[in-house]
Amino acid sequence: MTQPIRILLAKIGLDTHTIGITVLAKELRDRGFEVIFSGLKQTPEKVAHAALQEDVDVIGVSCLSGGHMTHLKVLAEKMKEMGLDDRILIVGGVVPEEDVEPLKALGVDQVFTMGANMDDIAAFLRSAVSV
Amino acid sequence: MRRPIVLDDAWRAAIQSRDIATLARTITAIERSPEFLLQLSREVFSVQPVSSIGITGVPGAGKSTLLNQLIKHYRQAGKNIAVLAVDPSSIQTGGAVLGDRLRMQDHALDDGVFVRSLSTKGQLGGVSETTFITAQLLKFAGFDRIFIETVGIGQNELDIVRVADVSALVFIPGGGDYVQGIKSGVMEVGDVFAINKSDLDGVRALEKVLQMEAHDRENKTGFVTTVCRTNAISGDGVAELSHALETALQSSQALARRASQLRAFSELLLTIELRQHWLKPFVAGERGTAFFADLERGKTQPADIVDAFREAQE
Ligand code: B12
Ligand SMILES: Nc1nc2c(ncn2[C@@H]2O[C@H](COP(=O)(O)OP(=O)(O)O)[C@@H](O)[C@H]2O)c(=O)[nH]1
Ligand SMILES: [Mg+2]
Repeated sequence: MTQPIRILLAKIGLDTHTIGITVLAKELRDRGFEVIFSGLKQTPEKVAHAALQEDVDVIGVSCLSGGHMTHLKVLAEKMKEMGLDDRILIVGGVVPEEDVEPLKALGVDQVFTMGANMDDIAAFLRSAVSV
Repeated sequence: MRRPIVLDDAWRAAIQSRDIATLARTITAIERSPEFLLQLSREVFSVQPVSSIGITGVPGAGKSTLLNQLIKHYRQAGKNIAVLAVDPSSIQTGGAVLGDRLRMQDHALDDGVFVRSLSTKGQLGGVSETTFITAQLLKFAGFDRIFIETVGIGQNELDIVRVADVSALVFIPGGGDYVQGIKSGVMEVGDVFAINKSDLDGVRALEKVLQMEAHDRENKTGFVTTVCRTNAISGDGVAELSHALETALQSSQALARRASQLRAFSELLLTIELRQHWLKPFVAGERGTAFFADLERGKTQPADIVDAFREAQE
């Protein structure tokens, strides 16, 4: 029997664009994922703490404000510090093409931007996580 | 790939110092492996009883928000608190959106507060099968109080009594008529009645109905049911709610519940054992597969599965 993959979805900072993350939560649920929604206005530290307690397989950050480089740098550092660097880290929202490689260099496993296909996201996670 | 958990001295020491990473990984292992659940059950019952408190009520009543306030109240008294927050899983896909944590953000960075979201994993009683043993693990870890938030309940989610010593049943104002619509079984799970959102209209009408119910119950059983008003946004009434819950924990009823929980959990272990070693192998095996194929073609009827199962055991 396959076990559901657990994913924490969060938004960091003052970014209040909620449509994408809400759609994503519902679509992943409908594909058999356990989605923990920790809400808006998070700090990287809070996201890492929640991920540790919830023991998620994946952390997903939605960022449309342009603050992704700063937030993800701090989050990736926190994750390392707390022994969470074995978890999959993905980012979505508004991310310019030229930022994708630098994000990956920080430890982000994949980036999904506007129009990202939900089946592709689910398929990526299923191949990246071994439950 | 996750490292498997070994229940050795290092594990015990980590759990009893409430190491969050170890606790969290252990809870995942309970959910993912029935064999691990059984092994763990041999480890975690050697503790002094720790009280567990259920928070139940209709969807949107304010259970999670109220918990955020209750946690604050207990933290001010220096208590370490663990919360298990249960939300429903989709019957079709097994997926879930677990959103209770969102309301408990005030404690996101407090090491004395552990919050874990659980999906019902298809169970219909308001909590998941692993909720009781997970609560027991948290007791073993030395938290002072364990809170369990059920899914939003309607007519028939009564399993909270199998996992919590006492429970608050949370209501919202709005006439009080709907209380009559709540099945008596659901009313019985509340040891304390909390009227949350007491900032809204209709508190008095609901309070009257609940007080009548409480009176009735006291006449029949002798147990006192406190009716409290709370506002989970401002925190008003939360101290009174906590006091009522602590009083209820001292009752003989709470003690009796604890004993019956152990019985229910023993039966659950047996159910899991039968499912894992008898039911599943049969259903997935040659005879089970053949039976279901025949059933689909109309060549057999449901009751024949029992004969097939009995034959398979011979
Ligand atoms: C709708 C919208 C708003 C609404 C938001 C309503 C709401 N409740 O969400 C309102 C009007 C409130 C708003 C406000 C603002 N907005 Co606006 N907004 C948009 C707009 C037009 C669409 C966003 C949207 O909802 N898309 C639909 C969803 C479904 O798509 P999505 O979020 O991209 O999600 C998809 C993928 O990215 C992915 N995904 C998203 N998150 C995640 C997470 C993970 C883990 C994964 C795997 C995938 C994933 O999956 C989704 C499905 O494919 C965009 C333009 C655009 N093209 O994106 C601007 C945009 C995001 N906004 C912008 C700006 C500047 C603002 C404001 C600052 C405007 C202002 N001056 O007041 C404010 C800021 C508010 C705040 N504090 O955050 C800019 C951001 C610029 C930047 N990043 O450099 C954009 C890009 C417009 C632009 N071209 O300038 N906005
Ligand atoms: N006005 C008012 N709103 C409340 C109160 N308690 C909770 N809420 C709101 O009710 C909604 C549902 O709360 P939540 O805690 O998620 O309910 P749950 O589904 O029972 O866990 C949220 O929008 C809360 O902000 C209260 O005492 N008064
Ligand atoms: Mg809730």
